[in-house]
Amino acid sequence: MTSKTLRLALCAALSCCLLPVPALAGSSHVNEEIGYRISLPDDFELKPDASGLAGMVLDYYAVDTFTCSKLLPSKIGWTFERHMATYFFPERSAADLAKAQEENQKGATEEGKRRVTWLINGRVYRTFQEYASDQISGFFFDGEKKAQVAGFDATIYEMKFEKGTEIPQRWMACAIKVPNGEFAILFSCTEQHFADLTSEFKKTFNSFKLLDKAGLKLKDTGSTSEEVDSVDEDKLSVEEVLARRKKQKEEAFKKCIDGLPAGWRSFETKHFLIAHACPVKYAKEVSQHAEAVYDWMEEHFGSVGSGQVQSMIIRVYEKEADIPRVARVILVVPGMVREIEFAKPDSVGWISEFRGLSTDITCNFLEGKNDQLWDRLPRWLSWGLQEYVNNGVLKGSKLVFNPEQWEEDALNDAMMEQRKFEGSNPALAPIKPVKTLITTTPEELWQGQLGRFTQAQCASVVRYLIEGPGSKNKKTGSLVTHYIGNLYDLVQQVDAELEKDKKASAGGSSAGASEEERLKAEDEEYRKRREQAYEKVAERLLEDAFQLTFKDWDDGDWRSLDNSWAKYAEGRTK
Amino acid sequence: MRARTKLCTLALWCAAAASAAGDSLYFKDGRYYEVPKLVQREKDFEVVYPHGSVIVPKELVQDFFCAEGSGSVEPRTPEEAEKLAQGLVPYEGKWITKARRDQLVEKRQQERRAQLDESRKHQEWRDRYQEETKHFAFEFTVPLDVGHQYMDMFEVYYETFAKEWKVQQPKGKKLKVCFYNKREDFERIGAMGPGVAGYFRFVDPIELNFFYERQDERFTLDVLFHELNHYLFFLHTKNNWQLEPWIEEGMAEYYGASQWDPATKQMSLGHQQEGRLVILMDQMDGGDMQDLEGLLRDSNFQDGIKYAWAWSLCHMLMQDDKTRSKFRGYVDKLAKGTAEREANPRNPNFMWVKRDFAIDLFKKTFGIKDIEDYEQQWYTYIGSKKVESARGYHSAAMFCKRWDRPLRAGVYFKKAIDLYTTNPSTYLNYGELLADDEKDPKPKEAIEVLQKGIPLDPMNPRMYRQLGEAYRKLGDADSKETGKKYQLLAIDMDPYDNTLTWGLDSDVLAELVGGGG
Repeated sequence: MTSKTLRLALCAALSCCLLPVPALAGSSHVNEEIGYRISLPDDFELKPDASGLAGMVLDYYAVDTFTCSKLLPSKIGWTFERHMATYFFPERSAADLAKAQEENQKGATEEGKRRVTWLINGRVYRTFQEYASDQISGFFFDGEKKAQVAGFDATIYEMKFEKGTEIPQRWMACAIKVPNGEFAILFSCTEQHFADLTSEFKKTFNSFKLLDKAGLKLKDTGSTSEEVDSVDEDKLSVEEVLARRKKQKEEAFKKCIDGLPAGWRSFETKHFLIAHACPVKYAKEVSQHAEAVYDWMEEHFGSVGSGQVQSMIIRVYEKEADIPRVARVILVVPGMVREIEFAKPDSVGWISEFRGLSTDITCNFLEGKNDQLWDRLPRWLSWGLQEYVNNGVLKGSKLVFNPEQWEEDALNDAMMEQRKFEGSNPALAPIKPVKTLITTTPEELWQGQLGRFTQAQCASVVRYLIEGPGSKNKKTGSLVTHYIGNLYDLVQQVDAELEKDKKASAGGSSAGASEEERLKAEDEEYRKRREQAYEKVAERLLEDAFQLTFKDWDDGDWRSLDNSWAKYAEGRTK
Repeated sequence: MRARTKLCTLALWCAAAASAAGDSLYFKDGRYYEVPKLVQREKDFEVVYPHGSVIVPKELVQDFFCAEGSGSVEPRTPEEAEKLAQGLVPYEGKWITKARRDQLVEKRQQERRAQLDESRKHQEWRDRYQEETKHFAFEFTVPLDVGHQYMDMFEVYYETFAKEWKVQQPKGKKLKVCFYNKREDFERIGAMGPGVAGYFRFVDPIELNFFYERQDERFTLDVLFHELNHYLFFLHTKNNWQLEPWIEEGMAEYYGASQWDPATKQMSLGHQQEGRLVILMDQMDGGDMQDLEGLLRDSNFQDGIKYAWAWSLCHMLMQDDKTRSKFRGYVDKLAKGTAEREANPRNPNFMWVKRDFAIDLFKKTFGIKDIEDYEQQWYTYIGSKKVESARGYHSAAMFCKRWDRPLRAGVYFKKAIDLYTTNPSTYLNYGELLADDEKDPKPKEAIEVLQKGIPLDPMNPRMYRQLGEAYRKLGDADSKETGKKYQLLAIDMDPYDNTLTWGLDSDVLAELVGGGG
């Protein structure tokens, strides 16, 4: 080191000793779109469009959301994740509301969107207090103090959560009267730590600044609804439906590509549009898995219906935390192109890597092929099938389905509980006889603690039947496809009858009928409708499908199935 | 001693005191309204809005605050004219200076404002009333009068049940009861979803929560008697034992139908749960019969239909002198007996008697040799019951309305009204049905019905919105204009309720947009 350098170093060292050590401070947050600035407490960072913020409601009124990386310990051993959110309640007059209703009554825009996006909920909220009272659950206002923030009148609220929570909480909010409405900052916190953290909340409140003295700007769209589409596809020919599907796909893909943020790329495969922020190598892995799941579904369930399966868009983010979790109000219309938001999970092992992806692809496929059938599949089968497909991992060009860790653990636990079970009702047993699994109502199957066990058993039974020893057995080899096939035929039959009845009742006219006659006709129509109620029809369908599929089975067959499956399952939980 | 807030009256002439606060009304049932202008009349109050007035019968009002008055006096005699010329004004039977009158009025208004604020304060949960009786520790935000009535009910119910079932509350362990002024507070503070009417929490902290349904007080009583019954049977069972759902819910419903006489402070048992009866009538009409053994075995009571069947069985067993004491003995054995038990699959921390044993015991207790035969007796018992009360007909009407049976619903609504229902929702729903009938709309009848219902709930904007709809459907220009005024009045009453502006005709919206609102 030269003498000059040493002198400089010494000066620097001396300077550091003489200057006061700067205090640690949180970062500053500026939202130019809405027009405010605040300083954040330590360890808080912006988390855009985050949902599930432990009770904080995020809708049109929510502006920004933040999470704290430092968890709070609690007396019961759990940790508590702190959150913060800001809200803006614009001042609106009754005339504004009427004008908005007027606009909305003109119908959807040419793009199929709602014209006015802020007419959500049953009310227009003008204050945080009104909003929280209606929208946030589990608390009461335990304190209210008038204050001054940035020269504006404000109210500081304490919100106490006692009932319906394992960890008692106390939140703090500051509602500031800005020139054109009310702005609010909300912090969540535990009761235990509240006193220690109050000064940090107040520091943030007091740091609030308007960027424009006139007030805050209204949110740009805040639209949470997808397209409004009112075409009745039942009135279209097959060719028209196909053409419509093609158009829907092209429009959706184009819109997605045109709207991709900077840094995103996209490519198409046979059935998907892959838009990705992640490296292209991983995006290709995702697309290969998606196509493999589609092909597998086509191979095994392609014949369950004649509907058109619509393509999908898969957005692959760089990491899980980037996935926006906005509560979307999605109006489901036939043929709409659904989107899957995906990222490589932070940790795998307990569940498989592509679980989320596979679930959506399976549902989309089955609904597209035959939505009536999908609706009416018995829970053990729809659940079991989904769980089975979720496990799939691409090895080379083949999907390999191995049970996830949670399934093995749950089955293990179920088997241990089964050894202690002394009840007489098999529907309440941790491990149920397969016949009981197939014939019992979902409510009874999934009650109380048993839901987890039943879920695991359903997945295991379906695996056994599709690729396990059940698939090679003469009696059970094609059981699943056979069952679905029978159900499909029955659904067709029932739908045709319901359609016939519907037309018959619509055709009747009450013109000229007396009050008494109209009443009688209404009572009759109700009785018929009651007979055709979804639950009754579903129950009958399942009973008939069961009878058709298992008509040759006796008690011995069921016992063999139970024993064979149990052996298979036990072998896979170790 | 219970505090009673008296209805005060101001002098006929009020000075125009400078007050920052508007006028307000405080109802006996705990509702509080801030209104633009209030005029006190002999038998009622007139609430004046930009597009019309609402008349509130005095019998609904506990207290009020009126910031402004006419301030002017017209002399009726030469003596009065002389006094006025001297600068004096009348006030409570005396002639005083205008300045002095304004001072007195201002002071009175401040006192009344403080009194109202005090009453209103206790509607916030943080400032809830907290009082104890012999067996209960109450926390409530309903008006004090109302709270005290319910406290009496709780104690009488406890004593009535304790006498029959021989229960005793452990010393020093009063049940905490949280009674909310309105449904929204119950749902929010209790973190309950819509559809829950009340609950008894049987694990620590043990407590009972319910709310005051002021439109249908019978509903509040129903919930109170139902939920408290769960507590009472909780006391009745030993250790961590539980009764089967059909007994728990069936008996809660049985006691839920109890009637209360506020004058004698007595409760009477064995009345009909007519809402449940309506469900059963529909089930039986559709051939959806609940098998008896299935009910006894069922561990999963999730819907109202099961509650209805369970209630009917308990009612049959409790109302017959021959079976009442046998049924008590049966329940006692399940609650305290030494029979073998198993974990409740829905809540394995609790135990109940094994199903097969319980069913065998049931058959033995009632001498049942053929369960299907007994089942038929049960069905016949249900079939002999009829809906009789206004409330029952209202339930039947709402059931039909839900199932898109407007004509049948209308028949039942009319029966409820003929039986002088005091539930404003009957009138509102019926009025809606009459006006909205696509095949044969009856706006004139709708108007009559709604006008009958409005005095029961005069501050409900939906009444006026619906009244406006009905007038609009009459079709002539004058009626359309009247209808528009009522619809605008509804919006004056609650300008930020989106649902009041949905579906309004364009001319009505245009008036609001133009600054008419």
